[in-house]
Amino acid sequence: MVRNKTGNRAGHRHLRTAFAAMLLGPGTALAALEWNLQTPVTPVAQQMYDLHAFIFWVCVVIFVAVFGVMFYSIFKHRRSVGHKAHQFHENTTVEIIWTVIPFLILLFMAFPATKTILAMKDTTGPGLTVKVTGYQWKWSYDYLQEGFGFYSNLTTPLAQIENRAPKGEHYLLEVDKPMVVPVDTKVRLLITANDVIHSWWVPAFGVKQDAIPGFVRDTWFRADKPGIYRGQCAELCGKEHGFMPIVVEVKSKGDYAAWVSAQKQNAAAAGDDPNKVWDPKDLIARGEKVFASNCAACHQANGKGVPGAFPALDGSKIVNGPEAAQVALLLNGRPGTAMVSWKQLSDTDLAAVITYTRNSWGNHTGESIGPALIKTARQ
Amino acid sequence: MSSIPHDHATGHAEEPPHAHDDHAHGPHGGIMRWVTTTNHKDIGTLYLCFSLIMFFVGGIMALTIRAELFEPGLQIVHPEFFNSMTTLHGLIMIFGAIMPAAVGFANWMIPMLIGAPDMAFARMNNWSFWLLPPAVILLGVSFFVPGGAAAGGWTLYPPLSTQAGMGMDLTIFAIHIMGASSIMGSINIITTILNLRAPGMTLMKMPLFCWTWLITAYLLVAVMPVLAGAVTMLLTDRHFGTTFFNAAGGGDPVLFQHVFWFFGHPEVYILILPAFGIISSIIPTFARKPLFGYASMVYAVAGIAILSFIVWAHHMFTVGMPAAGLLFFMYATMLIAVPTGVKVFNWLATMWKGEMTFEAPMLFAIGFLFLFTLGGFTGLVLAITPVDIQLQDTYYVVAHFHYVMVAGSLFAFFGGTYYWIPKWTGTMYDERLGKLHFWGSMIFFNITFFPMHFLGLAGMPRRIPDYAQQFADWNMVASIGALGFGLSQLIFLYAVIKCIRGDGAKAPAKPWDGGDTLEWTLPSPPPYHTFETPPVIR
Amino acid sequence: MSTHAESSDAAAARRRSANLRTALILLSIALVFFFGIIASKLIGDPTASLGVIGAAVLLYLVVAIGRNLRK
Repeated sequence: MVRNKTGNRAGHRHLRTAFAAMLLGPGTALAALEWNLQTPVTPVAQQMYDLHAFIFWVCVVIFVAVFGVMFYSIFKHRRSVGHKAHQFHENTTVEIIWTVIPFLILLFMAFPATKTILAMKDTTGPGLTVKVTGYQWKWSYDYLQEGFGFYSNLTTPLAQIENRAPKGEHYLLEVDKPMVVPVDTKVRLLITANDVIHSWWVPAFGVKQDAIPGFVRDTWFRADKPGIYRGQCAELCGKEHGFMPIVVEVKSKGDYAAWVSAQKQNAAAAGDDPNKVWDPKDLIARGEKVFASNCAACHQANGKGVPGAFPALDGSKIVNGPEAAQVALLLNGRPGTAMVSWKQLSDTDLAAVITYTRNSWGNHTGESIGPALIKTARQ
Repeated sequence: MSSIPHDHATGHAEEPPHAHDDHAHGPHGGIMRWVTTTNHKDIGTLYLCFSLIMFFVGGIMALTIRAELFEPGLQIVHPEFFNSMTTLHGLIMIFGAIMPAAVGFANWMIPMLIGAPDMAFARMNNWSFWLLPPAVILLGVSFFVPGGAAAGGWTLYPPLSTQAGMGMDLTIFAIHIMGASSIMGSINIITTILNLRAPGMTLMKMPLFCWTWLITAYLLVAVMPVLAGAVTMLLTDRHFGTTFFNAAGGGDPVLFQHVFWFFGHPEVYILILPAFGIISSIIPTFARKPLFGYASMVYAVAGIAILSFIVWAHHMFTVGMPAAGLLFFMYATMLIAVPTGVKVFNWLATMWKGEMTFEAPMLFAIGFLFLFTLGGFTGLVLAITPVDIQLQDTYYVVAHFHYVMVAGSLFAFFGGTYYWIPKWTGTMYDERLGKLHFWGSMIFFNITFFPMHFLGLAGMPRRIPDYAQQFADWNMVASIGALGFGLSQLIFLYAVIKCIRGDGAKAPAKPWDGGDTLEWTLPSPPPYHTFETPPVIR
Repeated sequence: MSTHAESSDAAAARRRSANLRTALILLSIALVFFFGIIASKLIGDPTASLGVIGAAVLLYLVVAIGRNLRK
């Protein structure tokens, strides 16, 4: 279960390990290879882990018994050793026995599984409730009682993905702002999605819950140990499905309280005055950031889009046309396409990203859109 | 069984195969023979060749996927194209390779196994086949339309599939056409089995292959319309403003999953039951013993078919069902292990105290038994809801269904091909090639798919084009295995072509001394028309 | 083949109509399912409707096989 491999391992090293695994088989100590479920850190995940181990060994025993019989038969009851066929073709007693025994084994498996299911679905009495929303392609976390929330974006640089730079230790499993929760606290998650179905999955917690647009589902976990736990979106959600990881940081209760108050202060400080008049330069700089984390996945950083799939913004009629049309498109989305509504972004962010697109690449409208315009358009 | 008429048959057996013969009972010459044929043997051949081609097309897609996953990072394809590959690989292997292969076996063998002259609806039979190429062409064209081919997975879940481009519409039409083809084929098979059996061939005397197909065909008639309905609703959601699956309009995306899997779970039995039938033909022949527990085999197949209608939601344990739903679907799913176990035990008992020889068909049957049971065990692991929560949508699931679909259905079809190809072509296959093909497939299959269990357990989601470092080693092993598995299939292609060209020993009417079903009473290859006067079965 | 032309013609006609009957019954199952699934969506409560249709088809199956078992 060693998962912390140092990054930047050359391809031939993988190849060598891979061949070693093939040739030497599972008996050899190959610390780099994974064999089992991740180490559980919640009671439910522990139950899942034990349940899997239990069923696995039951299956191994049956497998060895059944195929022991088969291989015995293959070696003894063959023409080349001179065995002659016995022409029997039914035996009611045997047939009843091998119908009833598997049924009894199943009962033994079903009993502990039922207990775990009931524990898994019991979301009552949470110490903390967090709303989790899946977007194409990132997650957001809203701390409903504390009144703040944030997005959590992949931070693995494109250069690593495209093999232009060595891959880091947490390649594809790292985000800018992880979800933070206190240890030994029942955390209830309200999970939904904004566009398509996603699935929020952290293996160490034993939590996998589909995020369904238009519906809120709930689940829960109680982490026993502080640490950083990583997971991924588990439901195909479009082209960047492999690139929307989940990182949860479990802190001690004291550290968590400190983190919450820092977040609250930040939220207060970062609250934008919707009537502020911005310097176009600042607005464009902010828009570039908003674009990179929200729009570039489809429309690309160079604004050229992906021909046939995602339209180019560089030279686009809408981006170079009347501003009201672009504002309306961002607020409402375009039904039936991947262009969803972005009304969850703040007025300032929307104003910034619109200003950025209207003044970047080959677009030179020279216009600067203020947050006030977005605020009006929302009404 | 000795009263098979050869008078009519021998008159044609002496004709060269490509004779331009306008005789009412002979084949047309050239390409028109295949376009206009209503002969069950010709149509069986068409189905089998079509599925072989699709098997290689889908295989190339699989190799593209494995090549991209050879190492972490994006090397070969873009993520959108990767998603199209996984989607089309699934659709083509299921609807283009495995199902048509099963229908091909049915067309060739069912009339010969029950002593019927042909299928009940010969012209509809021709039509069912010739619907398939246009459907596949639609799928092929979808790669070149704006937005590219469907990329939402073969399950086509909305809203992702509502978002997609025109490729999705073409995919929906292709599914409609393939569904219509399957329904017609199934109606034909059921009618043939129920109405055209030779005198004395009661249902409980039929070879098990006919039973498994009878039940499969019922499943198809029941569930293909459900899939058609689901994709029709998807189509109207996409273009005509309905909101079946759109929460904003009062619909529910999860309802699509319920409907899809109400089709989808019986569908997996549609893919495996004909394979059960083939295995039930091969094992008794090479053990030189009658099939053990014939009646319980029939009841087990029927039991599996009925259970398949009440377990669909085990594909969606993570959507957030109430505990009662989880419990019901878990118990129902676990129950399937009982009839499946009965089948495996019956096969073992058929082998027990037999007089076994191990030609290629038997090797594939044993390979099937061994690996399919392994896939059954992982199925049992996945049936346990809490464990499934961890494994849903991971490579563990990918490993599981390839163990039952590839080592299950596909191995059975390989075995069936080696078993019956002497009958079909009149030429024995090359035993050396057959054995080589078996061992190549067996070894590389396990190198490819066994590590995927570990990947899934360790937490690698499926359908991702790039992955974290801890998954690198097993992925590399799997990719190497996939290449070997792909290359092994070229041996099969070569062995089949050799038989078709007549390059090999001439096959006797009954190449397997243990075979005791009706097809072995006919010459190899059988005359164009067989059993025009029904054989009499004691 | 030609020795009992009349009676075999009659037998063939009988068989054809029997085949047609079987096919129509099967087609009706397919149509019931196709329209049933869409109608159940339009009306609501799909699980109940699915159950009803499923039971109908199983009934078809049992009746059809039962009739043939007696032959």
